[in-house]
Order: sequence, then C-alpha cells, then structure tokens
Amino acid sequence: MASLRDIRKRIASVKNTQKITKAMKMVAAAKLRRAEEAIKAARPFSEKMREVMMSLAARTKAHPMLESRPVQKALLILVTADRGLCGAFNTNLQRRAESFVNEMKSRGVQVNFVTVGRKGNDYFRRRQVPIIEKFNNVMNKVSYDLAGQIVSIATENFLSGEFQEVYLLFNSFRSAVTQTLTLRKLLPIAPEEEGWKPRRGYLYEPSEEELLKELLPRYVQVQVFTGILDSIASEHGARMSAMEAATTNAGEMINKLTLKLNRKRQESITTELMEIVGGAEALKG
Amino acid sequence: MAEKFKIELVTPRGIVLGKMVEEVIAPGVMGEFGVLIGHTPMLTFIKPGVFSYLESDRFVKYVVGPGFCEVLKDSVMVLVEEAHAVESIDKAQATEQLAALERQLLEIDAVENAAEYERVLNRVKVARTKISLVGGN
Repeated sequence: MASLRDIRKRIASVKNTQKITKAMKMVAAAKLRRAEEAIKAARPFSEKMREVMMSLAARTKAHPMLESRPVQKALLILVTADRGLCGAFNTNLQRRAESFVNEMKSRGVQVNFVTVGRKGNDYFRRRQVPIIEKFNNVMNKVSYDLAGQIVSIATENFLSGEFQEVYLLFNSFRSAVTQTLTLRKLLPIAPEEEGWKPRRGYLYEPSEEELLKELLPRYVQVQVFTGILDSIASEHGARMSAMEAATTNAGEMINKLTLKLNRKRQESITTELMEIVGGAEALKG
Repeated sequence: MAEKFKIELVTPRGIVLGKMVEEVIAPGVMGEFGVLIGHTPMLTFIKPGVFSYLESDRFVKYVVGPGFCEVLKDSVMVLVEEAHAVESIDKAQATEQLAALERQLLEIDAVENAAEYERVLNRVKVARTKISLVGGN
C-alpha cells in the first residue's frame, strides 16, 4: 500500500519527466523548422536534375550505370536517426529493411548494408547482415559532401560488379506529423520504367556519353542528399509528435495520481476522526 | 533593349536566383559561352568559375562551383553545387577557406581516391575564383 509520501514522490518525478518531454518537444519543433527549410530548398535542384537526367538517359543507353544485370547481391543504403525517442520512426525503418532482406533472400539475392545514422547500425550489427560501411552520428552535420562519400562507396561497388542493384531506404517527409517510408532503386537507373521520353532537337556539349558520365554520379548524390534531408526533417517531426504524446500522458498520470493522493488524504483524516470519536466514546464509559 | 528571358540558378541548398535577364555568360567546360534569347536548346557542363548575367546594362557576377546548365528557347537553368554572389564574399574568410581546402587536398591520394580529390580540387578552384574576383581590396 502506497503511503502519502510515496504518492507525492511519484507526482514529483512524473512532473520532472513532463518537463523534460516538453523541452524535447520544443527543441524538436525548432529543429524541424530548420530541417524543413533545408529539404524544401533542396527539392527544386533534385527535381530539375531528375528531369534533365532522365531525358538524357532515355536517349543514350551506353553507360554502365544504366545497365541491368542479373542480381546476386544488392546494396541497401539505410537512413535512420542517430538517436531514439522519436516514436516508431526507427522501428518502422528497421522492420521494412528486414522484410526487404527476406524478400530479396527468397529470390536468392543477398543484401548488404550501408547504414547512415546510429540506430540502423545498432540494430543490424547484432543480426546476420553484413554492413560494409557505417556513418554514425552524422545527422547534425549533414552536407552535400557527406552524400558524396556515401555515394562513392555505392557507385564504386556497383561499377566493380560487386553489387548489381543499389537501393535507398528512408523516411520521406510529408508534413510534421506524417512520414512515409520510401524505398527507392538508385542503381541501375531505368528511365523507361518511369515513363521518361528523350527530348528532341537538343544540342549536347560535349557529347551525350560524356555528359552522362559526369551527370550520373551527381544525380545519385543528389538523390541520397535529399533522402537524408528528408529523413532528418521526418525524424524531428516524429520526435515532436512522440514528445507531445508523452507530455500529454504525463499530464494524465499527474491528474490520476493527484486524485489518488487526495482520496488517500481524506481517508486518513476520516480514520483519525473515527479514532478520536471512538476514544471519546470509550472514555464516557 | 534586348528581349528578356528567364534564368534560374539552383544549388542543393536552394534557389539562389530566379529572374528575367537579357544575357547570361557562363563558364562551360568547352569555354565560356554567352546566351541570348532564342538560343538553340543545349545541355552542357559548368566548371568552377564566374557566372554573370546582364540586367539594365550591368553585369551581376556569381562565383559558381561545378554543375551543368540547360538552355531552352526561353529559359536557362543552371544547376551547380555552390553559388556565391560577389557582394557576399568576404575576402578574409575566403582566404582562410582556401588555405584549409589546400591542406585537405594535400592529404588526399589523387590516384587512389580520384573522386574525392576532384571534389576538393573543385572547391579549391571556387575559393581561388572568389579571391581573384574580390582581389585588390
């Protein structure tokens, strides 16, 4: 049976927790605003690039990065958060990544990982999945160059024939409260599959092949870059709603505990009164 | 006055510029080229250098990183990795940056890590262009 003092202690501790979650929510909201600006700024570049790239790729087919080969090994670039306390954000990614691995396994394809963000690495390190490279604690200093490093690992391995397909899995930012899991095939690039048509009456300088050679790696880099930015914005959005929920829950808990405390106090007062009255009665004899 | 067309300068960090101009001069890989309205549609690379556009008889300059440029009949789209308006360049800061980048460049093996080397080299070029443009003061 909890005593009055115990209940008071619990209330104090829940109140402290509530303060923390409230602060975290506020921090996440501030970071979300910045991350949202970053992703919105990056999108025009990425979309325009995609347009130009695809129309060019649809014209010229002679590039190793456009070639589909029979798949034995695939590479998955998994973008997660560095930290937890953001609801189902990481769990969803891990679950999706795992089902992807199983799905590929049933087709006889082995999946290797490149993890971006600590959580993904922590999770898969303990499982029977090879991680060829990890990028931990990078989420607060993401740059275009970082995307470049990730991509050069992917493209080198793709071009050397080690992996025949490269995928990118991340949370795509819709709004502060919704994120959608997105799995995108990075390599090989298949413009026809997505319905892109070549442009006509176009002058290429230098030749189309050379343009393509330069553009393709950059295109992939931009895709990864915006993917990471998307993920960061989503992470802060997810953390914000998770902390909001936690703050509400803590409030409810405080209410319940306060009620319990008051009942208990009244109860003890009543008992005391009864004792006094009983004592007085006994004295009257 | 010449007819105007739309120019957009975009980097991964956002749209730097989007307006109607009369003429554009860009640093292409095959040499500098100028674009007026009605140019043949074209796609080409941009190397690190100076990009400028003409607006009311005055050239406005930007230092740009590598990227590419798509010219259409009535618009020009320039996608580059970085772009800085000349007015915004701080010489001391640029010099510092250049020194840091040059040190970084020395540490990279040009043969083994060619892609990385090229990336840093491009940034060095941008920093140099910045300094040469601000020059004298």
